[in-house]
Amino acid sequence: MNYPLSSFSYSFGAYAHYSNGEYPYVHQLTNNRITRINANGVKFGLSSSFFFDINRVKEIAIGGDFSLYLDKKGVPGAIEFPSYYATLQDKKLSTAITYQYKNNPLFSIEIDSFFSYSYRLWDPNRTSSNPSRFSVHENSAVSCALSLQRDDEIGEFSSLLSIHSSFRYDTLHSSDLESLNSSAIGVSDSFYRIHTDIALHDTFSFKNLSIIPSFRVDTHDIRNWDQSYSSLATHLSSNVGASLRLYDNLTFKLNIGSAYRVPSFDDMFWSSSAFAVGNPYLRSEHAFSFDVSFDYKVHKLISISALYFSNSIKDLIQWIPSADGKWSPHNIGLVEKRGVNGAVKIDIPLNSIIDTSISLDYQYIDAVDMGIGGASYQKKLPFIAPHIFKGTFSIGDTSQWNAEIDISYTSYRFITAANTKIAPHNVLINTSLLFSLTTNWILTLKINNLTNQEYYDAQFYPIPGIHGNITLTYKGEHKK
Amino acid sequence: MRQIILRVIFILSIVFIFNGCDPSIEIGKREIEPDREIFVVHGLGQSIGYYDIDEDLFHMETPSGAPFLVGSSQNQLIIDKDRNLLYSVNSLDNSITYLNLSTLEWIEDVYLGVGINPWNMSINSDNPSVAYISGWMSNEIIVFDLIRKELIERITIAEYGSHPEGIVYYQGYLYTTYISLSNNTFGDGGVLVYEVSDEGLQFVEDIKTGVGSNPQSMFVDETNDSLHVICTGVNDENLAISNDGTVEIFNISIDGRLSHVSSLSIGGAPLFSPSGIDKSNNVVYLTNTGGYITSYNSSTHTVIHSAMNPLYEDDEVELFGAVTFVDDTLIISAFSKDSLLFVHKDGTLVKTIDSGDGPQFMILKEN
Repeated sequence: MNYPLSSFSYSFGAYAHYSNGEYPYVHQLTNNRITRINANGVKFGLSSSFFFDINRVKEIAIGGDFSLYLDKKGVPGAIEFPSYYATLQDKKLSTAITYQYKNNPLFSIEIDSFFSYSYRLWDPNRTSSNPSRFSVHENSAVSCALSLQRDDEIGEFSSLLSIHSSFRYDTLHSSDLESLNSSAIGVSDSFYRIHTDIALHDTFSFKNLSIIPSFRVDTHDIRNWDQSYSSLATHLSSNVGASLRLYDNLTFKLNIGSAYRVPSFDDMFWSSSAFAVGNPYLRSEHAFSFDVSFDYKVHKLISISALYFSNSIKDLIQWIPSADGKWSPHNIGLVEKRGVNGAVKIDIPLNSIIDTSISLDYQYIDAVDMGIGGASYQKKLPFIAPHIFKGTFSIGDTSQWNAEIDISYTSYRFITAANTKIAPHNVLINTSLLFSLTTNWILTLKINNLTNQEYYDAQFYPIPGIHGNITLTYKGEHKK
Repeated sequence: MRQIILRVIFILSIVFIFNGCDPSIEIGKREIEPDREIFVVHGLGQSIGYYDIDEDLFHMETPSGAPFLVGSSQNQLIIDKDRNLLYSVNSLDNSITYLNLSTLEWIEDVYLGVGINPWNMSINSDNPSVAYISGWMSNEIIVFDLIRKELIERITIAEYGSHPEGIVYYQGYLYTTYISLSNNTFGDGGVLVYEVSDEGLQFVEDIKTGVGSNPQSMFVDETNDSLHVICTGVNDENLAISNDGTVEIFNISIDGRLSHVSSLSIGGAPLFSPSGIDKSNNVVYLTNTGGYITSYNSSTHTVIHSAMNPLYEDDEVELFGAVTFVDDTLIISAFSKDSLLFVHKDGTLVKTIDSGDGPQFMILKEN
């Protein structure tokens, strides 16, 4: 069979990462210098992708990717609680295949299929000889999605219609979930979730103005294998967006709509341990949101964008400690979340070969608990940093190498819902270098937390200092 | 182009100015100490509040909004009038917070060490510079010097069981319960007895309370030298699942040893509160996982209100943290409602007042 202008491209990659698990830190409460041990971390990954351009005239193509990830680390927990010798192992496998037929006379077609499997092994005490001490937590997911798109024009009016439908099947098996009948008993149980959705949106354009209405219906059905538990929900969400292009370099956008988020399997059925537990009775989040933004190309080398958003979220899912000290997710009655996001990018070509760029991103979020009747009413939501800033400097040539350094600032955040305590700000510097060894072989080095900053997550849990990883990728291409 | 670069540098400089912008949380310090008050642990707020009994006012912070801070996952407050101190046992932080008892001003958080998870503490009344702490995760009894703020001795209980909880010192003897938790199941729990001497703690005996008994708390009835061990059992909010709570009563008058006297089948999933006793009438009130109050007579060893006919219950509450009995009223901390419930001893709800975030343990102080 003769396929005009077909090509086949592919890549393979592997990476390894190590972080040292023995490091000193200063205890935030007592200012004692303590050494953390048993927190070594090793990660290893493989990835590959391919893209087969079957027919460039008809734009028929098949693409896919595969990844494998292995991770083992010591997890002594917040301030060495629950166990001094706890370890966690993760294994993840995922693969996806996409079929496209874009230049179809009726609809542009895309079919996506996806499979993933993850396995987590929790060992509360690696020095113990008790063979039944382990907890095993396995997830798998299979999905298939169909997207149809059609572009029509009548004079100066145009319509870009998109129809999307998907089916997804998730499973969970865990050896150590909280029993649905008793919070004190651990049981082995299995769940599955079936999700279907259909979404419709259209982009109506007239000269520089576009209006984008969209609707979506989702259904979720969660059950355990013996059918003693079931939860069925249907959600309808809608949105209207508008985009106005003023001149060639300035675009304004506006969105108003509703959205929801179902709790994840981990939110609902996280394996019970001394440290954390899922909540099978979580409700879905529902939000009404509004945002307005602009993109402005100041100069051919300088672009600016800014966004303002406002969300009113009912039943926000947030992980917080409960009465017995275990972390578990809960629905927070009503949250008002507002913020701005701004970005600047400047490209600075040094000569005909070397390019540099500077990008600056800033985000401000104000999230407040508006659930009446609780002690956290009108308090800031914990674990959300109000200010995040990131500056990135990149330099490289177009084909062989690229180096990047970024500085990120994360401001303080409250660690209690009553806003009585904070985790302090941190400033981190990360670097990466990408180098093409040959036409096909690419080496990437990353070093994170270059200055070996001591900083803390939500519960004063010290994060390891400087660490890095190395990735080797092979890219190939055959053109006819 | 130079101007652009200079502007970028200027913007980056602004970033580093943010380094000084962490808010400072003012340390709370009260001006007036009530004669009678109830201290309340705010488990989620990592702070405490207090209820002024005579003024009928609850204070969760100072008038300027400064909280009275303690550590994380506070299990217990202990009053030390001799040194004018209030201690908070912070299980998740592995620490003991020292507060000034009069002003509630934070003094210090003393870190105990890796992986301990301190559950309860008891001061040696004959040698008040020493306290005993049950290390839930480390399976130890820790002897702690309250003045030097350091660990003196660590004694493992591994050969008897695991996860010690309740701990009480009484007349030269130390008693601690343990629940033997394994794979989310309560094993063969019990009570350990140690004799306290100049040489340290000397093991006396290990008395089992039974598989699944989950003996979480206890107290000494000094009127008749008896030790009351409250066995919580399965500890679920669903009464159909968890109705195996008992109170095991031991006589300890002879060499501190336990001589079993009574076993009360009170049902539910009970928990003892140090200030939940009507001493005039010898009635012990118990909170229960599931949000209800049971009671028994500590003198006659009879159940007054079992889980099947509780004195008071609230269907909206999963957990009552603690109960305090004062002026014929039970004051109950409702964790999920962020409030204190005032219930007359006849079971009638009198009123509700707002507390801080996640009220749990409570203790009464009277000058």
